Amino acid sequence: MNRRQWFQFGAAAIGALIGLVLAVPGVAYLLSPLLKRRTDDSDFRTLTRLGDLVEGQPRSFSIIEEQRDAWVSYPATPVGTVWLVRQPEDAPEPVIALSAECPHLACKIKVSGDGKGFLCPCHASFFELDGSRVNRISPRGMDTLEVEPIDPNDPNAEIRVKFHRFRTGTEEKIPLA
Amino acid sequence: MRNRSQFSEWIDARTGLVSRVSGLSGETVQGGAGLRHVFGSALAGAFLIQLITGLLLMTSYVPSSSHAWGSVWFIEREMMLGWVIRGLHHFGSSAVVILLALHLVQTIVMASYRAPREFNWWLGLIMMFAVLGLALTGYLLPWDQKGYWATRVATNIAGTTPVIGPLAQQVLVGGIEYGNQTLTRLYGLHVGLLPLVIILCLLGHWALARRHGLNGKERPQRTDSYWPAQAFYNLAAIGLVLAILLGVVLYEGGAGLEAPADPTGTDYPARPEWYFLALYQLLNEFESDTEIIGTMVIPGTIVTILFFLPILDRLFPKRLVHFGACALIFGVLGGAGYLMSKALLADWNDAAFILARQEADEQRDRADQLAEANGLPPDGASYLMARDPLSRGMDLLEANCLSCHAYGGKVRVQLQVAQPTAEQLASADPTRFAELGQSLSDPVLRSLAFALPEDFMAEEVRRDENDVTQTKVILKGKNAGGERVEAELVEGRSHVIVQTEAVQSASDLEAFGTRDWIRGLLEDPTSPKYFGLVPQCGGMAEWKAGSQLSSEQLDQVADFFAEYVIPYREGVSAASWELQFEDPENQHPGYEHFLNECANCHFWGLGGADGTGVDAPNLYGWGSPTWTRRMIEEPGARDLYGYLADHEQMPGFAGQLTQEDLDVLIRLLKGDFLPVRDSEDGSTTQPAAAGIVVDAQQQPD
Repeated sequence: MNRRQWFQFGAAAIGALIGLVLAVPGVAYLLSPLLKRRTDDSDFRTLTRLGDLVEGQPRSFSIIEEQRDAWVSYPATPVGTVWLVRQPEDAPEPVIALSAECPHLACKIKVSGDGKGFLCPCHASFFELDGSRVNRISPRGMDTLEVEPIDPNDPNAEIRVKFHRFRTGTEEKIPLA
Repeated sequence: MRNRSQFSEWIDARTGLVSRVSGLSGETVQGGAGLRHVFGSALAGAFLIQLITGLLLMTSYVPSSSHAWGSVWFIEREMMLGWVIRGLHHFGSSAVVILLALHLVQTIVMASYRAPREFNWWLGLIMMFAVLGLALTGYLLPWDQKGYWATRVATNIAGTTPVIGPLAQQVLVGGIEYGNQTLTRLYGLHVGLLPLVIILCLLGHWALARRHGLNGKERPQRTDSYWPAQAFYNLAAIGLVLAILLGVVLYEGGAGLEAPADPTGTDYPARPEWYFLALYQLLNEFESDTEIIGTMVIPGTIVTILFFLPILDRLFPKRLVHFGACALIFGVLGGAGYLMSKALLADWNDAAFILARQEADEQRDRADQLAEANGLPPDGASYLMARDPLSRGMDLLEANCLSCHAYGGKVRVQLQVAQPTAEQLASADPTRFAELGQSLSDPVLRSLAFALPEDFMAEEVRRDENDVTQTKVILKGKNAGGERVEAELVEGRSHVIVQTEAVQSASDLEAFGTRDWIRGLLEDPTSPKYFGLVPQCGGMAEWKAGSQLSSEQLDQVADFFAEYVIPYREGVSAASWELQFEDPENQHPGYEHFLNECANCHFWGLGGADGTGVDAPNLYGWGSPTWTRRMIEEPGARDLYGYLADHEQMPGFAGQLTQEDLDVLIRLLKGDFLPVRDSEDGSTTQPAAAGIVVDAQQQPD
């Protein structure tokens, strides 16, 4: 190895080392959000009573939660919306809960003008009252949320729902950790 | 060049980039490649490190007076290796300043300011100011105590500039008050304008350096090209800088973050970063009427001479100017070194500074602990401490309550540091404490005589020689007010730490408003924790002397208070509250004892004041925040301690404390706070600093 080659090799090695020392913490730093797993501490929460829901008339409820936004802790504020739909008497479940977050691109779903279905105002995704798709704009139907089993004949039974967020834009319903 | 790939040819044909780069890298280095040419490149490399780490920090930093601290805390403590990135950026500024000084010295020593390199010299000087500007503005950005107070000082120095000073200051600060506008403006300078100036100047500086070639003695036998020989040396230098930086960051554990900026706090020991310490000390060298010499005239003159160096070079004999320039730069560096060590030595010897620093460290750790436990309140970092009973609450307690009350057995302890000048020592009377014995030297006796008040009566003196490096002298006694006074000094140093302990004359407030407090009172009202030191509140002691209640029954009374009295609900009248005990089946056993024993003096609801002949406060809602708040604001109300009107009685604090301050104080009394974290074993302890008030004022001449 002559002098010139030695310098070439040395310069490349040192250059690579400098790059590495800066890149490793830099990339780790930028990827922090990926490396941080939030534990799933969501729990069933009471939204209303069975007797307050009318079949065929969806009602929306706010999910109120304390929120941590990076370094800031916010007191309990609405963090999401859930549609509760009372089912006919012969249905297997008395109530279904649907997340108001559109599985297409996460806009907020509202009840359509005629009240017979749901509509996402951003890209005109239509859904039936059971959350299934009417058109094919959203990749999947509205996301159902877990409802604690209740006695379908007790109008005072509390409707308790576990709130979750799911990845948008996928056919499959993948919970966000 | 040979062996170029087709792709390089394609790019080169369209941009000329490849030819240009290979042309540059093939340029010969005059005098051969070597370490003497690395300083400029190492400086540029360090700047590049700052640029990269700075951009990374920008992705997480918020320039707002409410949230800057929180975002920096988040980078430090929550983001992966964020402390390394910020540490590199923080200590990188020191590296840039050191390399800048080296580059400047080398340029002057090699007389590289001479024609035809004048413009290169001037560009370099402009960059030097931009770098110092970056250092100054960056210091503020975390909006912690350090940055906040240092920036106040720096912008106030700018404000002393004749004519334009006050206007410049107001523009820089964004008004009169330091706040969001200060932060956004200095942030704009730090991440926008100043880096842009440096990058533009650097391009010109570099192009001109290429044009004129590197300066150096010709060594004809060596004909190195830039690549790879000089490139190797440059990269090695940058690598060394980075390695040292990384070492410092790992050793120091990052850049550190002080408690959030507190504009109302007074005793933060603000010091600038080390490279501005010389300027800071220069400022201290002058009295206020001549201060401008230190802040403006001396630095201004040095800068002006540097700027005109190439012109002086033409007007005067070259060798004379070169000698003068070398003398100036080494003189400035030597002077800066002298001033810096003087400043450091002054702090090292300054007991008041050390105490204030300890306090600042405690606040820093507390802020970190609070942020980690609960995050920051949405309204900003300054509320972190303001809503912490152990921080704000303890300050309020010390200032307002602990001159009579105790908290956890501790009363108000005032620390004063007496730092006599030589003349003051000379005029002090060494015979004042002559009776203490011959063991004390004359300087010690003079220091003590200066530091201790006239009414001090000595009781005990002790020499502590356990420490091999220093001998402590501790003198204990009392002043005329009966307060315990303790003076401590180290032989050979003149400053004396004087500790004055208040005399407790009221109850201990720790756990006031809880079951424990009421149970303790029922057990032994004459304890100094309760009414032992308050003869005018002797009613409880009288009751105790005649009471037959067993320990179990006293427990029941305390339980009754914990379950029914302390959880007071606003808006429920005493009468309707009492109705719940009507039903005999519902009756709490403690209620019965209360009616039989306590209700002889105490009332719920109406009554209980002097008009009814009952000398005891009304207990409806005792221990609840509402009751305690009234007690703080209006203790002389007729339903509270109005019957004591003729005696020495607690003063009311109505109007002196904000709602938030009252809340935080009451939470402190009830013990409703996050315990202080003990870093050693993870367990928690009570606040160590309870009751200590540091009064770090220097004694007036």
